[in-house]
Amino acid sequence: MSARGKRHGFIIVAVLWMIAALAVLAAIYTRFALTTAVAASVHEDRLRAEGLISAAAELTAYQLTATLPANRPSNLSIAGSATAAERTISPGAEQMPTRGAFSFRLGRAGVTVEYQSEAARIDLNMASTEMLAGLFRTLGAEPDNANYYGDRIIGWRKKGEVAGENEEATAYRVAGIAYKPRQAPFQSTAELWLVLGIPEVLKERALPFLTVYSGQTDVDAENAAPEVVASLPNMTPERLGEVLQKRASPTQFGQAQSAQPGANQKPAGPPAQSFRLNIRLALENGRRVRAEVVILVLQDGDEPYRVLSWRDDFDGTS
Amino acid sequence: MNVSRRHRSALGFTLIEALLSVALMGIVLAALALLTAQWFPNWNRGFRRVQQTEVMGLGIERAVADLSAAEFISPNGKTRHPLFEGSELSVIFVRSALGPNTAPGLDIIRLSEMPTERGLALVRTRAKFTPLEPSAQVGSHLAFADPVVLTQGPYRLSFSYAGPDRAWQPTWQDATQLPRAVRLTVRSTVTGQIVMVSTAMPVHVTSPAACALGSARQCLDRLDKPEAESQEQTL
Repeated sequence: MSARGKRHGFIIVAVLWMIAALAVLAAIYTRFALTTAVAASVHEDRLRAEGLISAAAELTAYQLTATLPANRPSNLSIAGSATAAERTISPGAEQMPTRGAFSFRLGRAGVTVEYQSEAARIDLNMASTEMLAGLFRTLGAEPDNANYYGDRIIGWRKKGEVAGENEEATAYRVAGIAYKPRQAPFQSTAELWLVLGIPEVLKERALPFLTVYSGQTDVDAENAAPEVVASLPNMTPERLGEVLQKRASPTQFGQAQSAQPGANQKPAGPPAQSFRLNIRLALENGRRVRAEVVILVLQDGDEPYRVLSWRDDFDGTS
Repeated sequence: MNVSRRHRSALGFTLIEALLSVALMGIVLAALALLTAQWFPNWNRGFRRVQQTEVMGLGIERAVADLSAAEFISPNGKTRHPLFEGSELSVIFVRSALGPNTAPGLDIIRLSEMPTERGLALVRTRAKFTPLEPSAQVGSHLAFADPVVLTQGPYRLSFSYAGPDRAWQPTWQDATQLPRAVRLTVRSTVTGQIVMVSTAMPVHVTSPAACALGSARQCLDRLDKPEAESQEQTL
């Protein structure tokens, strides 16, 4: 009796040992599997965000081209675009809207898109010296310096003479810089960092108001940032206040626009075709992603749009 | 006697009983230890393989994010081709600068296989972008610095590139535009098999800034079909 009791005790000890060992192994494995799952979900988030950002760009291109009478399908409403708010265009107008916002849900994630014509920014390749100087003046440069900075930007993009170099190249050499100006249009606003003679602080301040994707000499004063409006040639503080006040009251502004579509200082040139999209994603696991995409809307051909620039949180550059 | 013995056993163990129990316990533990000892190396090896793949996956993820951010920047004002040189074992492209201690602006990034003391590794190096002389060779002329090892191990990586026609090519040199997608194939050097972390990613930017001027359609068609254009010119 007593011997049997002792043996029972032994087996319990052995079994407990085995269970403990298995528990330790299981715990190790669980931890490992958990970290692997977390790492995998990060990859999955990136893929999903990429898909959602593409979807947002596609829907924007659709909204923009669908407003053109030639392309308008019988049913204009996009499934899921709950709030097509802030459309600053009257239904009959022939031009694409210059800004707008909408949101939709796709694959259990919420997506908010705000788009704006790229003409709201100053184009580094098209802007005149006066406008560039005006921007630098608005951002706090001395008037004389501002003109100099404007000239440096023109010098960077100005075509070289027959010899293959413009006089700006000499200035770079004199300054001891190892490279020459591009002597061709800017291909990215980041090239501004290479331009000679402009203080870094000023470059940093100016970049949010600059673009290379607008292709327009003039700025769309209705949507532009106040700093950009203030930089327009012949802009006095009084006129600036007037324009901003007019913009601040949306109903009045909308009416004024629909009543006289060509009244503002818009050039007769081609309409804006590039748009900057501010996209905010809210994934169902609580992760939020921001992205800034510039698209070129194509009105003819098979492709609705091309991507000019794409920044997102995953890359750390947004 | 019987009673007293039972009484004694109820009080405790004899020395022999205690020794016996210790010995039995020893045997059981030894058996368990033997079992785990045989088991652990396999377990560890399995873990190491999974971890290696995971580290590999992270490195490749980084390379993928880097490549998707490639921008359409030509090396100088005279060339219209974007700076993107892809071969099977390395790729050079331009993107906006990223990382600690980098000045804002554009960077030329090179992802290439390099020998290290622990075998071949996929290394990311960068050089600041400035307009290049037309004669300069990007690969040899530039001083690439700040090496970062992305992946390492008994694997070989190879890149392939696809244009708008979606056909994979082993190289992408002097093309009129950026590839639409880049594929990264990872092969185990031991078995030669393609590893699961192999991936393909789209390059986000599909149009140069220059096409935002004037007629975008014509500009893009010229990029998409350079042969057709040259044929038209000869006709």
